[in-house]
Amino acid sequence: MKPITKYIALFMGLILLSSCNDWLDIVQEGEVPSDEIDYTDSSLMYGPVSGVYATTRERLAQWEMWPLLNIRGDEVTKGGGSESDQGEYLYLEEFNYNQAKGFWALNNTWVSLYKIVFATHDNQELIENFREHLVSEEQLALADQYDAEIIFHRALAYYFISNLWGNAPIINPDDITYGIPYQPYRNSVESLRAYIYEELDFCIEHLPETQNDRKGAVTKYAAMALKAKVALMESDYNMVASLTDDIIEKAGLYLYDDYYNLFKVPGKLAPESLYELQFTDFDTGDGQQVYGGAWFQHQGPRNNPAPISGWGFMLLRPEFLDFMKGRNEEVRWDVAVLESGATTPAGDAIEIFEPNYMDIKAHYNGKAYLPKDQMTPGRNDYGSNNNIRVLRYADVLLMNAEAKLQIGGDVSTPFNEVRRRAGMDPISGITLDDILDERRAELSVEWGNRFFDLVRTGKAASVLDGFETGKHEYLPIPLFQEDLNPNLAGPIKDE
Amino acid sequence: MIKRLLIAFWLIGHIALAQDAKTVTGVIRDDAGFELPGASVLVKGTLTGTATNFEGQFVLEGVSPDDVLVISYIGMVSQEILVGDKDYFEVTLGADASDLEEVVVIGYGTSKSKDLTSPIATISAEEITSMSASSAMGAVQGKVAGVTIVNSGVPGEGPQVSIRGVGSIQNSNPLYVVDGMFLDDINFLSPNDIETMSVLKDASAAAIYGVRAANGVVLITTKGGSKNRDMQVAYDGYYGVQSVTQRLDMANSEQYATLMRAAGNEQYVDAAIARWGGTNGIPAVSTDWYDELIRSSAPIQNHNLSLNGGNEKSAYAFSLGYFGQDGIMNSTGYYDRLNLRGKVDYDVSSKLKVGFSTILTKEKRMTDDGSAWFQAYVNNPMYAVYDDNLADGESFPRPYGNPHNLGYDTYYTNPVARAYYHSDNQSDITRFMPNIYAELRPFDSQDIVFRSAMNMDFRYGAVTAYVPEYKVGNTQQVLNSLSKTNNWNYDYVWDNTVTWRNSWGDHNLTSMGGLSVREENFRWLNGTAQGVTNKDYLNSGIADTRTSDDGGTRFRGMSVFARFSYDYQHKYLLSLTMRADGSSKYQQKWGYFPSLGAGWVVSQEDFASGLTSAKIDHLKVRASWGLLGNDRVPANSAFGSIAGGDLGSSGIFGGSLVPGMINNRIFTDLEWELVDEKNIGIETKMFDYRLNVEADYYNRETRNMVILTTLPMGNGNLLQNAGSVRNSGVEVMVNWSDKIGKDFHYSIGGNITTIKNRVTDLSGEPYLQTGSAEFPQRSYVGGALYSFYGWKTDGVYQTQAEIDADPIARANGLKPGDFRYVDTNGDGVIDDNDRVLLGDPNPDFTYGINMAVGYKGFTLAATFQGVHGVTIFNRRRADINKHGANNVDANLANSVWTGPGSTNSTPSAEGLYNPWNTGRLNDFFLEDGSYFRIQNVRLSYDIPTSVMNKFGLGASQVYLNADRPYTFFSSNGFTPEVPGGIDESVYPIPAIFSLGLRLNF
Repeated sequence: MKPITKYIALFMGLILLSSCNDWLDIVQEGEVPSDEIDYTDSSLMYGPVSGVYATTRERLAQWEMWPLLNIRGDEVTKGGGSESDQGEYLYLEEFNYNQAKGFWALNNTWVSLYKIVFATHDNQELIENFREHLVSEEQLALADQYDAEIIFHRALAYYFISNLWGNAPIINPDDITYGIPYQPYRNSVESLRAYIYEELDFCIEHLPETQNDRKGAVTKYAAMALKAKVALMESDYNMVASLTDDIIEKAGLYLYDDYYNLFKVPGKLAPESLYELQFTDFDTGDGQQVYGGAWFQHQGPRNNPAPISGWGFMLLRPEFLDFMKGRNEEVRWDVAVLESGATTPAGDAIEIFEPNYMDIKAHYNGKAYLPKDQMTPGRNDYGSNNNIRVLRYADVLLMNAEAKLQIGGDVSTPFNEVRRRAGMDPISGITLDDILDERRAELSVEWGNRFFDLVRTGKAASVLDGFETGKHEYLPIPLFQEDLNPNLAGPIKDE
Repeated sequence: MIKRLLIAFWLIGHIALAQDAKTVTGVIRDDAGFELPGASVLVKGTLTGTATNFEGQFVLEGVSPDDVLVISYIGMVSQEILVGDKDYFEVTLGADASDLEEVVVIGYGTSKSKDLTSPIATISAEEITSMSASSAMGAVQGKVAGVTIVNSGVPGEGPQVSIRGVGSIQNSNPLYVVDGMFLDDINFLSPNDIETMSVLKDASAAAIYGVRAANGVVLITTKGGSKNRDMQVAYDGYYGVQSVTQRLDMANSEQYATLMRAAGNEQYVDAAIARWGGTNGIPAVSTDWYDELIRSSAPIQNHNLSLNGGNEKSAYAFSLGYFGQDGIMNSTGYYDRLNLRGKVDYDVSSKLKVGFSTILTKEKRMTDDGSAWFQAYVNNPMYAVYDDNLADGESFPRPYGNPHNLGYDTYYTNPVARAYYHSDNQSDITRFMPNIYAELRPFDSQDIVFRSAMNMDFRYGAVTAYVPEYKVGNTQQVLNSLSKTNNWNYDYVWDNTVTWRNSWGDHNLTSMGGLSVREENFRWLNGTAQGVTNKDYLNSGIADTRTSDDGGTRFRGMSVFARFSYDYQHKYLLSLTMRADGSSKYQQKWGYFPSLGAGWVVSQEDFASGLTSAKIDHLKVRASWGLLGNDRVPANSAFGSIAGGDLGSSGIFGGSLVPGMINNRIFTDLEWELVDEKNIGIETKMFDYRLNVEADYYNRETRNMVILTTLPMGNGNLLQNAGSVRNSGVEVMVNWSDKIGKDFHYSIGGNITTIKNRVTDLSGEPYLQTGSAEFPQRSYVGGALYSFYGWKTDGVYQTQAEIDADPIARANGLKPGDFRYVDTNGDGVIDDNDRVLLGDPNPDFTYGINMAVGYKGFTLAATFQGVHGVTIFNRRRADINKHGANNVDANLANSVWTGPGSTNSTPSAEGLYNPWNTGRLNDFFLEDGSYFRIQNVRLSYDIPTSVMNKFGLGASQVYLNADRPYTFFSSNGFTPEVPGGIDESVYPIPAIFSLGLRLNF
């Protein structure tokens, strides 16, 4: 029975095979387990840091966050093709928050900011793995610096979270047990800001004063500027003064002369830049690019041929235009305002757009405008190869002036330095209103500065129609997030 | 021990009887007097036997007068004849009115229908080819209770199949086993090549497939040859046209203009009139984009040539098939398939049998751009497909009109242009499925069969997508782009089984044990380039633009299994199976899947003789229980992983990229998803087998349901074991068929399946949230899975007085024509606490009806099919929430509130653009997805053999077929058959009218 013996051998073979689970224990294809990175190779250690820059760049440039930050001030209205185009933004402009609770942009913004937070915790774990193999003091100091670069981005995300929502959860990575939904309670805005301070203190201690190898990477002074912005929200003027004094004294930053190009390609990483979301087309007219996409496009002129074309959102309000005109702002007007039905100083003719929901023709946000002749030939996307400015020295100077006004000191030097660059005559006898107006003119449509200024100085109710103090400072928690985590609707729990 | 003794006695008896051996001969005929080749003649209780030759004759040696000959033939009633002193037998077998003797394919074996303890539906080759469909499963719709099928209109795309409800969010398609090979779908297989299809619906039948069986199993045997038969050559083919008989009417320009004015978007209308003309504020151009996009008819055809036969030692079957279908979109879409198949079985000796079969398939597909359908819905009708007055360089190479010069943004683009420029999407799949087996019966005295079968499946796919340089208004492809992807699959299943059929006295026992090993490998490689000068080659593209990527998956599985089927006098039936499965997909490597089935054939009992007088010929009750596993979830790595190096995960510093890493720490340890299923059934045949009734109660609970959950705080998505869901219900099938006189026959039948879908556990969570952030779906314990969750409307405010009287209306600045919502918690405010469950996409019941009448050679047959109690979400309409310049369907435009008393269910035109009414999920967007469909009408004529013989041909048939000519439904879409209950961009399902011919040479 020869075949039989064959069969028996075959079956035996199979049984042997089945006894070894190893055969089933295979790694899924296409995935690199985190424990298979060579953590002894410290030259790879910047990878996790670079990854956090990428995540932050992608998430902070999500267009729907931009109106959410800016439209509640008195500079822009949402714009768009018609009133009903993304109509829920109007609920926010009118401070009818309840109806916007289910708005997708609200949820996406929340998700984007917390994604940055999670990414920083996840990638710090990788730094931790490298750290185990480091020996020299120098290497360990480098690991601290890398940690600090990552943590800066977390603080930046929390800065926006605390300004937009006030009371919101602080993610504790130790509490996350994967497999069980992580449903944190909210922290108070005070403890959230205390947490940001703590994080930024670590950054200030470990970040270098300059970043020569990697242009535009965060420095000690970027961390100090961010901390000053948080302190400003808390009206802690002593802290604002000491931080901004340090920056002014030691950072070696100065205002960029060519103000017209500050927000355009020549102004990328200008000497006044403290932090930018960096994009590039790698100086080629085709192929892959890292592009700010809809962040530029949604602010681009409607009905205009490419490359200067977009969706016509974020239209400047008449009161802002009147404010600028009333001040005889010329230099800053050309930068802040991109007028439809006119030709820009850079020579681009912009088709007229007269939205039926406004009494005036469209004026787009000029700080998103990139002239055609600055684009790499072959590229056809609005804003291609341009960066998005986040923190800059002009803001530091104005914060310094404001702090000095409150606690005593030289207000006029930093204040007039900003004015001078903008072609405005210096003034004396500076009041808080002067400073707020200066900030409005200098920092228009930049990361919600105007609305946050009005809120922190208690002027929102008098300036903004429909704003009620104590009720409209913060956005509602997105409905979808409350659905996923009912604890967000529960009490505030500080550890 | 007792068993061994019994075997010993049986062997002694056998040897004793073999002493007075003689040789007998005979001939076997059917009741029409034709000789039956290949009929089986067996000495009862032994393996001694033979088969008849071409003339229906047999010779059997070594038979003793005490032996009983068992003579059988498929579809005939078997006969048992005592040999006695006769040496020559003339036997006439009558046709079998019942299907009790029918051999049913079950997992790793066969069983007689009468011995089954579980509901297994068999579908004949004839039923499978009764419709003009690319996939065999399309024809099953409405024919089998418990099988829900959602068809697709895309050329060559198979339907979604689910058996007994939806258990988990993961793939609900059943496992297909084609001649032993495990497959995810059978769309590549020519329906003409299928001999039988068995649907294993309950756990007791399916459990032998363990971890793959949770969604049910469809067993398919391809056609083989028959021993001792002359070569038979047959042609079967049809040619038909597809046509969309029921369209979704869109609002015309006049209606659209009215809506836009109400929305405050009159600038679009003004721009259209300025550019395209118009009178009295009505734009001159009114384009129905669906009209432009749908062809009036598209061909479908199928041709199949087969030959089969065999001699004493071997059987063979070969076939060659072609199927071709064009898309109904006015574009380039088509599907072509060439099938080549061969199957050979050979008896090496009386003990060893080997066989080889192979299926070779070449599929070619050009895929239409699906988003053109959606564009056809949302685009305004006020401009034409082509525009003669374009500015220089506004549209090229073709002068397509565009919505952008009317002020629309690039969310909208000319649907016809979109379909045209994005039509070059080609995929070629070459598939080779060989199977080789050996079967050994080592012992003369024992019916023990060892079988080893190796099944392989090689697939090679090449996908090419090319988009030319073009410009349509502001929609521009600056450089052409080419993407090429190569896919490579290699799967195998190696089965080794031993089967022992054993009978003693009135006891029959079949034991089967086996070991199976399988592996699935998939790899892909993709390259892209822009600015190619030759659209076939990436290397003709601009160097900077070239990218490449790759990936793949790999799974392994290993299983040990056994089954014992026992019966006593075919009266008491018992079946036991056990399978142990190892899978590389889970961290918990091994799972165990037992099942148990029992049956009682009441009509076999002596005391049941009264049944016969009550016209009950057969009555069986049965019950079963089993556990099934589901490993058709994405493999789970259970470790953190890292993405790195690419643009998306790397920082940019002063224009230079620094390679980055992104750590993904989100993972879970998944446990096996389990299905625990109970089934109780009754089968009866009455009135001389003319009435068949089969009823089953089923209760299947999916435990450790694997669901992709959205994590709180934006921390991504994660597969989790999220709880349990139960599907329970009743399946009833009734069939009556009869003949009146010699020439007239008729049949009528129906089936119904009720499905009650209930979440039974969510591991302590209050609910499970799925769906999108804006249009959420929720599952609560005690409720149905994936219920739509939102606000309930309570009519429309008709007058200003009603507004003034309602504080809610005042607080929200509402106007007459806006919705009134139900304040479910009565707190005087409409907010998120007022949301309720608004219905779910799971059907309450599905049903099918089939009937046929025949007179002489003519047969008229019809199948109807329906679904009831489905809630579907009109996602297309809901898009108005984000995009206020969308067009809408004519039904909606016609039904808007226009003044007090006009309607109480639709907001005013202005209200359509108020987020209060349309910016949220409410019951206005939910529609009844119930439907009743005329599935198939078929008129056939069997040409008399006497006529055909004159041309040297055999039995032949011509037929006319109408598939899905009409559907009754109320939802506002092309079809109520939408996957997951969300109607967004569905390819219309055309009706098919065809003419077919079957010829035997």
